This record gives sequence, C-alpha cells and structure tokens, in this order.
Amino acid sequence: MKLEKKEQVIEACERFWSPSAALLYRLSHKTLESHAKGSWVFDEEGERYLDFACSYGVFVVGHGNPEVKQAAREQLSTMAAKVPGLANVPMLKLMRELSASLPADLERCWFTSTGAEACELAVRAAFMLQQRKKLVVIENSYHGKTLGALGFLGQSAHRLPFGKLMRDIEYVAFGDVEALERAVGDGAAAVLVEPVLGGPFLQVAPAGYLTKIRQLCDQTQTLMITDEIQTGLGRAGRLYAIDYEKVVPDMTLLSKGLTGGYSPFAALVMRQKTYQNLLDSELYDARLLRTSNGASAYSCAVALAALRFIKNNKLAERSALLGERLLTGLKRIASRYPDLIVEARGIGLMTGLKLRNSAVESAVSIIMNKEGVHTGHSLNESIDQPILRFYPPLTVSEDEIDFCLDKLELAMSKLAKRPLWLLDLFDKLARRQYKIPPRILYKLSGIKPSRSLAL
Amino acid sequence: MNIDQAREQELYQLLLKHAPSSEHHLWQSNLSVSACSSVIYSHRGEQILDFRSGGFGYQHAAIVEKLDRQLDKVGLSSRLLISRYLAELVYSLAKTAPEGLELSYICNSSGEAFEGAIKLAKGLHPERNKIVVIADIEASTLTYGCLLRGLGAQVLSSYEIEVVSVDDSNVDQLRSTIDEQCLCVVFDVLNRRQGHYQLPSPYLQTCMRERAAQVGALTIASESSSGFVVAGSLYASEQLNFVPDVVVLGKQIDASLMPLGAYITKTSINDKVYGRKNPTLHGSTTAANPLACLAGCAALALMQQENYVGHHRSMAKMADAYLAARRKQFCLPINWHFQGSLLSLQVQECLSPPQLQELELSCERHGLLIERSTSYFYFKPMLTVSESEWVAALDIFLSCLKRELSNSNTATREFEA
Repeated sequence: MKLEKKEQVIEACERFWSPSAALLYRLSHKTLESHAKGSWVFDEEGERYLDFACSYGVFVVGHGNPEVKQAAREQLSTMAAKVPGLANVPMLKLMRELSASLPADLERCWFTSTGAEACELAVRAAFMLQQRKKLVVIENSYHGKTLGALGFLGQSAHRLPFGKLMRDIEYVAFGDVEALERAVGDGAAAVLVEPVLGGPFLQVAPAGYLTKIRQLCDQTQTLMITDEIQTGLGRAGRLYAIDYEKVVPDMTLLSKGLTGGYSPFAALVMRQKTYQNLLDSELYDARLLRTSNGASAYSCAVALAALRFIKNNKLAERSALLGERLLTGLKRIASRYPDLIVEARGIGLMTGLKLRNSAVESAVSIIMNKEGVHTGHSLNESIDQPILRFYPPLTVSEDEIDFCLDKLELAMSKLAKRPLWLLDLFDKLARRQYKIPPRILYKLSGIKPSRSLAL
Repeated sequence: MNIDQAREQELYQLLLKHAPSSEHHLWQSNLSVSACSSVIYSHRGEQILDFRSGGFGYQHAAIVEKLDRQLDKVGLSSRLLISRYLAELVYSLAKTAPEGLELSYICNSSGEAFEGAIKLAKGLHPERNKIVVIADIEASTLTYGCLLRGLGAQVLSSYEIEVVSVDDSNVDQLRSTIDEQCLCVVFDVLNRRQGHYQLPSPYLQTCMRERAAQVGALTIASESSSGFVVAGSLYASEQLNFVPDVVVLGKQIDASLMPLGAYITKTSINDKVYGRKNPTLHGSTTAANPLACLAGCAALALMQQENYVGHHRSMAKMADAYLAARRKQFCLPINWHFQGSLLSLQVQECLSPPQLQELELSCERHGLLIERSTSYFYFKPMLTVSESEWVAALDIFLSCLKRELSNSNTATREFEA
C-alpha cells in the first residue's frame, strides 16, 4: 500500500497509529526518513542530520555498519527465523561470546525481542528463586512499558495512568544507599538497578554505589539485577557499566547496543550459580521462562556481529575518550549560559544537559534539529528540569562532536536572546499542551491537515 | 553448512553450558541452517517439515529481496523522522481488518501485542483489576500471557490483576464473572478445548459481547493461535458474530522473517486511553521499525494478491480427500476436523498415552514437526504451504501411525499369547 505524499503518510499515522505522535510530526514539520550511514540520518528531501539521539542509545556501532549489515544480509539469505525444536549456530556463538565478554560466571542466556520482555523475564526468575515477594526499584528508573514491566517502572508518569499494578514494591532514590538499606530490610526478592540512571534523569552513580548494593544483597540474600540496556556495550565508557566497580550481579540485562541497529533484540544473562539455585527452587517452572522469537537466527547473527565490532574496534575505550571531549564541550557551553543550563553531566558517550525547564529543552532540540543535529529530547513535560541527551554512535568522529557542539553553542546563543520570563511562560504552556485541542494548535501554526485516505 | 563431528560436539557443549535447560531439547540431533516455505534444512542435509509453528512460510524470496534492499537504507529507525513503512503498514491493516477496527499498535512480537491489548484495557479502567479469560487460551510468553495461561499463580502473586478463567461451556458463569471489576474478556478466536479447533459458540459470543458492553469491559480476541488466512478468512475474527474491541493479530504478519506483532482496535477506544496524551505513554525503542514494517506490508499484500485464503481452502479440501482415501485404504482409526486449513486429527482409543507420545516423537525423527495434546495431533500449515508439502506431511504422519499401530498390535498379541 504505497503512500505517495508526505501528508498522506502523516494522515495514516494520525488515523491508524498514533494521533498524538502525528500531531507532533505536523507541528514540528518532521520529514520522512530515507536512509542512514555512520553518524548521519538522511530524509527524503535530501537533508542530513547528525544523530546524537541514536534512538536513546541504539546505534552504538553507527548506522548501516558494514560488518553488521553483511552479517544481516548473509543470515537473511539463508534462514532468518527461529524454528521450533532446533538450535541455530548464530545463537550458540552469541551465547559463547556474550558470556565471555561478561565477568565471572554470568553465562546462562535468554534472548528476547525487547528489553522490556527481558526485564519481565528477570523479575519472574527472581520470584521463582526467592520465597520473598518484595521488589526494590529505583525511582525514575526505566525498564520498559509492557504491562508486566510497567508494574515496576520507576518513571511514575508512565506507570500511574494504569492504576496500581504490583504489590510489595518500594521505590528508592538513585544513589541513596541508606534508603536502599531501609527498603531491603531483612531481605527482598531483588534489587533492580540501572548502573547509570537513564532516561530524562541521566544521573551517574556516586563512587562505590554498586559495590554497596552488592554487599547489601549478599548480606540479605537478595538478588541483584542490573539493567544495562542503555549503559551496556560501551555506551558508558566501559564494555559494561558494572566493570567500573568490578561488581558481579546475579542477573544482567542488555539490549540497545546489542541490536546492531538491524533487529529488535535483548538478552538476560544469569550467573551459573544463580541458575543452579533456580533449577533447585521449589517454584521453578520452565514454562515461565520461555521467550518469544528473540533467538531468531537473524537477530542472533546481527547481535554477534555488533558485539564483535564493539570489541574488535575497542568502542568502549573510544566512548570513554570521546565522551571526555563531548562532556568538556558541554560543560564549557553550560558555564556560558547558567540561566538556561543547570548542569552538563554524563559518563562515556552517555551525556546530557540538565536544562532550565521543558520549554528550554524543546527549544534547544528544535533549533538543533533545524541546524541538522538530532538530540535526545525527553518528550516528558512532567519533569521540572529534564535532561536533553547527547548519545552519539560510539563510532562518532571528533569533527562530528565539534560540529554538534558548534550547533549547540549557536542554539544557546539564539535562545539567550529571549527573555527568561517568556521561556518560563512557554514552559507553563508546554506542561498543558495535551489539554489544548489539536484544531487550535493547527490554527495557531497555520497548518491545514488533509484527509484523503479511503478505507 | 559443513559441520564435522568435533565441531558438532563443541556446539552442543555451548548449548548445554549457556542455554536454559528447557531449551536443550532444541538440539535433538540437528541444527537448523536454512529454510524455505514449510521446510527446514539441517546441517546434515535432512529436511524437516514444519507444521507446528504455523507462520507465514520461511524465506519467501520476494520478501527477502525487498528486505535485502532495505538493509542498504535503514534497519531500525532513528525515530526522529517519520517512517513511511510504519504508515503503510497501519494503513494496510486498517483497509483489510474487520469493519470498525482501524487503529493499530505495532510492536515486536504477538506476545508483546497481547500484553499491549491488556494494557489498553487497564488504561481504560485503571481502577479495575480483573481479567476474565475463556479457558485454555494460547497466550503469550510475557508475564500476563503466563497468568492467562494459568501459570505461576504463586510465583506472580505480586501482580495486582486477578485472572479468572471460565470454561467456554459455562455461559452462566461467564455472565456472572464479567462484572464492574472486570477490565476485559480475553478469548482465542479459535480454541481447541474440546480437541478440535472451533469458534466460540454463537451463544457464548453473544453473551460475552452483551455482558462486556454492559459493564464497559473490552473484548479482546487473540488470533495468535489462528491468525491470518488459515482459519478460512483473511482475519479469523471475521467469522465471529461481532467485532471485538481489540484483535491481537496472528504471527504470520512477521513474514517468518522479522520480529513483528500487532493489535488493532477501534479509534474511539484508543482515543480514550492514548488519544490526546503524551505519545511516549506506550511503545518501545525498536517497535515499528522499517525492516519489520516492510516485511509486514509485503506479507499482507501477498496474502491478498495471491489469494492465500482460496489457496488454503483448496489445500484443506485436498488434504481432507487424501486423509479419507488413506483411512479407507488402511482402515486407520482416526477422525479429523478442518477449521479452515487448520487440521486437528484424533487417533482413536487404540494407542496408550506413551504410544501417542512415541508417535509424536517418531514424526519428529522422520522429519515432521506437529503439535499434540492427548490423542489430538494438530497440523498448522504455513501460509506458503504447497500441495506436495501437505501430502508429504500427511504421509509421514500416517506411516508413523501405521508403524505405531503395528507395534501396538504385536505387543497386544504377545501379551495375549
């Protein structure tokens, strides 16, 4: 069903997919994605954009990575699917290499299509392993939005509209060890933690945080689950963020970087000794640990190629090195615009700017977009001071980082000409944006949506 | 693929060391290395007919070619520009789905779609905490899928939502269970509770629809076990006497190539939950990516352009005649039922449970993957199935059955002697 015109594409999105996303497309004059290469994304009108959003961290190996693409092409030509009752070679090789890349006996692998599915799986395994039911989770953490994962999502703005979903769950502030100790008490089923708090809250853990969690978990026989879906595979400057403190969790979760940019994919990796306990558990039921089509030969082949590329090209080290350059640049700009930028923060190539308010975040993002740079906009109007993320591919060049910083400087200088009271007023409007009827927004912006698609 | 014995052993050790033990059956004696339509080829060159997974059909050349070209553009989307492929897929679904179902949620598996449908119901009624499910649903592998299949009640007791399973023959219980606490009623469009594949009875459908409407609960129909085409119509839900509020689409939409799942619902329902809200309230990082949407569009187009529904009707007719002829020729103790082209075949009382299990394993050893529940054997053909694949599958099954019957007779004679 070929759609010829851009307006038809947006109309289809509006009527048959997500009216609110389509409204944003129209208001922000978004164009159609054509192709992507390296750090750049191209639209159908021939414009190019430097991608410092990377779908919140997916394109670790860059867009259209030739080695990953070759692996994708080869597997696609023979057998893409996971077939019932038979293993496939890419799956087995990936299990071996993924385990070898992780510390200690983190060796038992489950593959799923999404990070949320892997998170759900880890929590089900934890409940089987433990007689306890209490789950301790970090406030504002992100573990996916499937209904099962939503039950323990730290970002309340996404969770609360769906009512109460889980009992025996306690949320504690990131980095607060004392609060964590109180929450765990004599022991919980598991502590679920992102080594670097991601999403629009980007927060690097205080030194020793993960070690203290590990000690607390050991003392109370609580399972430690690390969600490295964003931080893993080099994004945070080490192959895994747990490597900073040489901590070994009982289970760890990986996804974004592992997709190679060519397939939805995620992994849950469990320690062998934890797995043995699981098998010995009275509550063990293998049917609760089945997964969907995650271990398809295609997805595994792509993930294997991505993992090899990351290791062979030392992308984690590169992330640490170039992250310094990017963060230094962000801090330099932040110091020049203290009224607009609260702080520049990050680790590796997982960096961001904490901004005055949502309106400033939107304005910077829009100006940068016009200047040809994509940034990771939080799209979360409920946060007072959101973080605008800068997550480039780990293959990014120094010149590309400088290009991004130049455009950011330009955006900030433009914005600094506006009176602060106006930005604060816009922020109040932005917080109420979903209460404004689309027809008024269209009228204000002079857009006339058409309706031409017939059913 | 050339894999010598030493390499084979090495790979097997990897499976034992790294895969969960529930997956160890995966190995058997073969690794899958390539596939085409209903046939999987092992590393030893053996052919295995897949009548178990009921997907689109492996490695459809035209779709593979399209995806191969797409690899040079983008795989996953940057998500900051608009995806043409997503728009084309949702438009195709809206054009073909039963009337009134227009708005799709696209994700990475039918399991995720299933859970998304329940999330929609929960978003509509955040204060409610009960799901009514028609028993023996073939739900997903995600958490709520497990709960709906009756698994892990103790393990998953932290989850607030209560699942109440109702027997499809007990309409009175269904009526009383769907109350003001119920957020949705979930059912398989085709279930096989009574052995053979069947639609819910018209009376049950009417009761479910009326009672759910009275209390404002959503009706969620899962096509994940029936799906596109094989039930005898493009969407299995077309055969219901009402349009459900949400239909979880069959796995065939993924073209047996890319992770993809979807549900489709009424615009008015989606508007109440997600309409004028932050678009990030629902969705995932990699969902609705260009490769998967392209595969979905191509699969849906082929189903229509090549009249897969007609093809499957004629395949079922042919297979039915073939079975009838063989039963008569060899006096086989079997009966069967086709729902569309989904075959449920019952072996009558002459084989014991261990012999029935041996029959299933024997089929696997001879290169046929099917499903079994008690004395019923289920054949779920791929959409691209050919007449020769159907005949080969039936031949393998019937020859294994004859061998098992012969062993059984010998054992009986020996016992009597």
